[in-house]
Amino acid sequence: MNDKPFFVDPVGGRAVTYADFGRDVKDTTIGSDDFTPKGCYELFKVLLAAILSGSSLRIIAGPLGEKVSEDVEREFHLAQSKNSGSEVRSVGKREVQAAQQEKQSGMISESRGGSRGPVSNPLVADDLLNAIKQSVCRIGVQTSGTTAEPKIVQHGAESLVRTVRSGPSHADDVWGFAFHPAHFAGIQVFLQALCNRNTIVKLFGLDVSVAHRAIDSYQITHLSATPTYLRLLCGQSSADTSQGANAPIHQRVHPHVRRVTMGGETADDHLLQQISKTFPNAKTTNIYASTEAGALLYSGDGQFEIPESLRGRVKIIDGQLAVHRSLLAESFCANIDEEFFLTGDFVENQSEDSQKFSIKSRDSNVINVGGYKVNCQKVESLIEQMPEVVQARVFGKSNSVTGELVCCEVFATAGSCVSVKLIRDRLGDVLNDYELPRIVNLVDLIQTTLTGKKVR
Amino acid sequence: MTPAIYLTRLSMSDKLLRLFNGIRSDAGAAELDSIDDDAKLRDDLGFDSLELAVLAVKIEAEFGVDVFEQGIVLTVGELRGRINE
Repeated sequence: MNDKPFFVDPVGGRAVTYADFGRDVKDTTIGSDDFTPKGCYELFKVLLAAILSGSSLRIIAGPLGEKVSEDVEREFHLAQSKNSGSEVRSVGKREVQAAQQEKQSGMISESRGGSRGPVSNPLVADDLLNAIKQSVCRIGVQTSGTTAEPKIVQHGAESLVRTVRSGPSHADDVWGFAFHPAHFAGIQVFLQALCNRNTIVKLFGLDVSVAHRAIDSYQITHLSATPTYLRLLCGQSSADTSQGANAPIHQRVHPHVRRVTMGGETADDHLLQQISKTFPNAKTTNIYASTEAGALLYSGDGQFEIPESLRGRVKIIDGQLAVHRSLLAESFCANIDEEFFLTGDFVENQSEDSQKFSIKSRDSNVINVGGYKVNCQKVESLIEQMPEVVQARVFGKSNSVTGELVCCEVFATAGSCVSVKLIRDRLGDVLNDYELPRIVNLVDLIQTTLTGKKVR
Repeated sequence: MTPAIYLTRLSMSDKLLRLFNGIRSDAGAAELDSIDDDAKLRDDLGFDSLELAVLAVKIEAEFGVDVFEQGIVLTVGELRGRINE
């Protein structure tokens, strides 16, 4: 059971087992409060050590990029040379699948097979989830910085695991890890996988083609990511399944993925369609969450509904979603005077008395062009439906004539040239003149925040 | 006029003509063969406020000057003057 892979980095096929992870957590001491992880595995190790020891930790997001894989690999090699029992080996698809067949039999118990001999594993617990909930740790998590300078919001353990679901039905889950490891949502994916002894396969920072191969190779069943990541991954996905794994990247279909969860940004109908083509058997859930409040609302079709249990504590004020201070992280709550925290997310009700609504935009998505409001997200969504476009980023640029001007970066499909004129020709009938991008730059990569959201 | 200054003016005219024609082309208007300093940006070149906004961005990228920062510019000559300031 302890040989079950805990973490797999597809670049180089390296993996660490639950037994190794338990030993590494035990060997980890929490030093200063501030911690900038260099890779996913390092974060998992330090975070769990902090939780189980009831320590304080402030996780500062730093750039990872392609170095993530190298760092993790180096980390594994160092562990191998330092502790001969901490094995480093390649784990392939078959081993992950075999591990999936194992039934959940409790949390990590004592190590076996390691030459360091039996260890007092820090993760020995009949119920790891409850053990985590009882921790007195204080974990500071940085906000994404989509709309303002990133800030640190402190959470207790209970708030970190509020959305974790555990039980036999989750025993065979294999998670594709597509968030920045310091992202609040990434921490929740880690804890969800850990509490069910699932394998985590690192996808964050990988090329799209490598990520597609990893989803197939490791038979990933659960994927949690930002809409921006999924747009890039699904691209112009078609429903053509005839070529299977040999299909071009934009036609890859993954029937074994059972659930796709999105959070951090709004997801439009077009993206939902793309996801259903790429993951035809997956149930799609959009989570409304923030670093300040954690996960609050769930949606399967783009429409959120305030559940009975949260009515009165989550409501719409002046068209904006508002959250009662009792639902906010303690450290954040201490800094606001009002009873309700305005999230900055503008919503649209189906009807006045309806509890259902969709998120229309964040205030940072709206720019002012010559006195006209332009919703960048709406323009971006339409541009991303053009067959020549893989991904786009629409943003406002300060301008001395019109106040702001709509600009766009486009990551085009191979061989395509997307211009101001092409966008005007295609979208001139559905967008107002002032909404059309006037400056279009072709790029190889759409710029995102450290946590994977588009920069506005 | 010295040859060096003449070359500089030619270069700026060529660049401005290229910028004007790029904006006109995006709008579906015919390209111009030449421009003169008396030409009015709105009436003669047909630029609306959004196209003037684009012109501001492109001129700033090319010459490093926000020509509309100190107020409206009516003609090509005034535009050239702002760039030379």
